[in-house]
Amino acid sequence: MRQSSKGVRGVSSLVASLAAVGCMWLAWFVAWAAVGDPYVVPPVGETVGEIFALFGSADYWLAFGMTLSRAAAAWALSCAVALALAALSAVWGPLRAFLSAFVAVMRTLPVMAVTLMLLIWSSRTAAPIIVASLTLVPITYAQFMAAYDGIDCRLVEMAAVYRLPPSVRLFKIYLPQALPPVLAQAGANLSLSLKVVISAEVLSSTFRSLGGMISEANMFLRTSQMFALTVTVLAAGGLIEWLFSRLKLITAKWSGEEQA
Amino acid sequence: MKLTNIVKRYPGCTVFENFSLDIAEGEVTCLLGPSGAGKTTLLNIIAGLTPCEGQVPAVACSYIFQQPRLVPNLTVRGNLRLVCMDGSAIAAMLGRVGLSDKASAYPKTLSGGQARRVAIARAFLYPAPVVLMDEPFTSLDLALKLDMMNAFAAAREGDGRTAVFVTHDVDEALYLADRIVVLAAGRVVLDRPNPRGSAFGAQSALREELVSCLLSLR
Repeated sequence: MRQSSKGVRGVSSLVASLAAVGCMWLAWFVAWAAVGDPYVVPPVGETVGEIFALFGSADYWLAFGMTLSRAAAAWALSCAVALALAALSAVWGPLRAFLSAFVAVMRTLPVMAVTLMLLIWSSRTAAPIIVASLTLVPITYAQFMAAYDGIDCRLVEMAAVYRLPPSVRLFKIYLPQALPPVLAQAGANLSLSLKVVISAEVLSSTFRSLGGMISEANMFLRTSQMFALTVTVLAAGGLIEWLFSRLKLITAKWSGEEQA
Repeated sequence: MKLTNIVKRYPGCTVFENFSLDIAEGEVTCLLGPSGAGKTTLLNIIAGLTPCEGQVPAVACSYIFQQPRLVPNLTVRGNLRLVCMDGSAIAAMLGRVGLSDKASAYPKTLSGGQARRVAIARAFLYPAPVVLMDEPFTSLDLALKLDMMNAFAAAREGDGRTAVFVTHDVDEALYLADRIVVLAAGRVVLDRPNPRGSAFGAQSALREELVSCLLSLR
């Protein structure tokens, strides 16, 4: 019974996702028909053809790989900084209050303005990584702190009374409780990192990047290529979030959420 | 175990002011008293969870909390392995508390009574000379309460550890304790040995004394 209800839920979720994609394609088709200018809204068929052309191009895959690696680097850097700050805040309470003001300011950073400033101070390759890291650090820090706050303090007391070793506390109590919510957000963070990196690449016309390709397509009015690149970025973002949602299911089992 | 001149204050409230209590080794001491008397605070002080002024012996304790506090991602066996690595001791203890068939079960699949029995098993598997219990039988029906108290007695069998437990229930105290201490406003107002095994009348008289003492404290 449980298996079959899971199967039904999976099928209905797939149908809903396909319906949403269908609606988007329909909206695109209606916009194309209404505008009637392929330089403003390109036809769906031409864009699909452009996507396949991109998939066959070595330059695209090189740009895709470079952009993805910049996004991954920015994400990893933000995770490392946020983890260090969260660990220090957990150990020393006043730091948390001190950092909350910084976090509030960093959350409101205007990406475009910061990118332009970073172009003065750093290279076209480094600027997208730095700006994406600056965008992600406050978000990731807040998520780590929320995960830390979510650890059951009654279990922490139990561990203290029974004098459990630090490694046992970490791997059997803290991580199984803290990891699922962190991983649930990690996919969205990496996807956001990809978007911010591409925005910064567009602005800084980074060599060998998806943003650079979008910028170039815009310059030469290759609207269908711009749409094709945007669709592939959307697909990559979706794929990243899906992969992390699979990871979340694995950690949910580890944390006991699945054993009801 | 000797607690001497304990002072514990919270902002705007003094729980203990020079409080002292001797707890005999190997005895089951019950702390009775109205809410706010400082019973749970005293257990937390003994366990080292609540800092205070005064002299508290630094002994290792196992603690049966009001809630079982089992780690949800570990099986019953996994929870017990946190405090004891000896598989045969775990199996024997699970047998004593009547949970041999639940070793591989996860806490979410256990009933409230079963989870509490796991907590009792964990407390007695942990090699500490003192066992603390904070209202472990509250909100259980009579049959389950008796079942749990028997599980406690079985787990303690041949063990002879010092136990301190907090309850609001006079009958629980008379059933399990060797000594009953009534606390009120951070001081001892009554301290009596439990005449278990003696003539029926002796325990009955103590029950009456305890009830009238508790009523007078309301």
